[in-house]
Amino acid sequence: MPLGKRIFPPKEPENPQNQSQHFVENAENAANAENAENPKQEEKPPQFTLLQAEPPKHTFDDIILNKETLDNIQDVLALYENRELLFNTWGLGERYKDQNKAGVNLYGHSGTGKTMAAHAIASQLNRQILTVDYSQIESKYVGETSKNLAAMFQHAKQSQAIIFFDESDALLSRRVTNMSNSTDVSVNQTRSVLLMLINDFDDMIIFATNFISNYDPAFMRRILAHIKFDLPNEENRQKLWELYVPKALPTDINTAKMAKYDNVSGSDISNAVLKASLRAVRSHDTLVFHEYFEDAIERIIESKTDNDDLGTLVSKRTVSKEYVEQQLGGLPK
Amino acid sequence: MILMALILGAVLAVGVAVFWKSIVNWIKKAVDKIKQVLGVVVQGTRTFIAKTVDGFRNKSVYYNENKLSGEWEETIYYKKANPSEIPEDILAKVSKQKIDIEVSTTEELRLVITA
Repeated sequence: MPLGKRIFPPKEPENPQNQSQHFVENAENAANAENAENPKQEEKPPQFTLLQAEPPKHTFDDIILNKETLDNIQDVLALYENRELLFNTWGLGERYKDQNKAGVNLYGHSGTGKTMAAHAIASQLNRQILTVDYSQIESKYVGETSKNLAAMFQHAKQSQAIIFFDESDALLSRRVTNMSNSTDVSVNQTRSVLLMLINDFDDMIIFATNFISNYDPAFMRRILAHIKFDLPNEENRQKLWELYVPKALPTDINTAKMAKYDNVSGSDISNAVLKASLRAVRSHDTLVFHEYFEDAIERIIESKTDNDDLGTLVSKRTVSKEYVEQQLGGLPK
Repeated sequence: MILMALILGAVLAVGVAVFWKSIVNWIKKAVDKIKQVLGVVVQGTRTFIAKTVDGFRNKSVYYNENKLSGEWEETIYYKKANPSEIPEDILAKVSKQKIDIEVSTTEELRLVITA
């Protein structure tokens, strides 16, 4: 059977009219799908958007990945799509209980297509995707984080959406010792709850991270496959340059020459195309000259080198005032 | 809490471990970068250290209030730590921990810069 071919029909969502977006006032309501349809709630402005199942934005046609990465993804998809046959009909579930889990971890450099690949996986499985928003789950409702997570898993189950933890090390690592405040205690409790939820969830969960070494080993054991996303090789860099330079862009770019610049991601190439185009516009040029692309990519490479000395920016997010107060033991003046 | 004014004005005494000097310089650099890139002024910080699969890792967390939106923001940086530079007491503490379990070094840093 060709990879990716479905042998079981996709499950129909229990509530298709209401699956695309759920505004949730609190986790108690989120846990109750019937309440989500209560018209009275729609009259109140939602405090935050916790659950957003949406159609995937990308397919594998939109992504340029190296062959090994793509093969690994297709292996996992084949396993997932055939798991009923493999683990139930053919009885492999008796010997490989843990292998029936469908947690997939996409890891590697930033800008290498992990988020796009998550959407493409959902697209291939003909499913919606529910991207976890940490700032809503963890920050604003410290103490209710566990309830929010439980509500999210329940919503995913009901709407048949694939759960996607982007930048997942933010939620899957950070256990703290020398707990100096209630937030640290809460963070550790959240980890335990999340572990249980992942254990009990029998559908696809996708994780993506730049920092696989930050994962808590307990989470690592619960993930079926870890798929590495490398920076593109020269052949793929050329394809990326060709992909990101629009056909309509007036330019004399030599993509083969640009592909010689090593250690750049697809995201870097995309940024360089934009920067070069902006420079041409500012200079009132009628052509985006090849040298503009070279200057842009060189600056990006230089900037990345500077950042190495600074360390790695792991995350930047909006958090609640209460969270900051708890973290710092008071608000700075 | 460590107020940023304390960090930015810190003149470390002679004999302070390289580790702490490196942390203070790192924080100063990060604060500059955050100001330059995000246009915001960092108001507080916390620091941690953890043992990882490939050595040790410092973590610094920065907090600022975005004056335009009124929202608070958190920025996190990681950087490898050289084990030979980590003070013995911290090294002993973090070595006992499992992989990726963070140990707060905020209080120790506060003591160093206010000494």
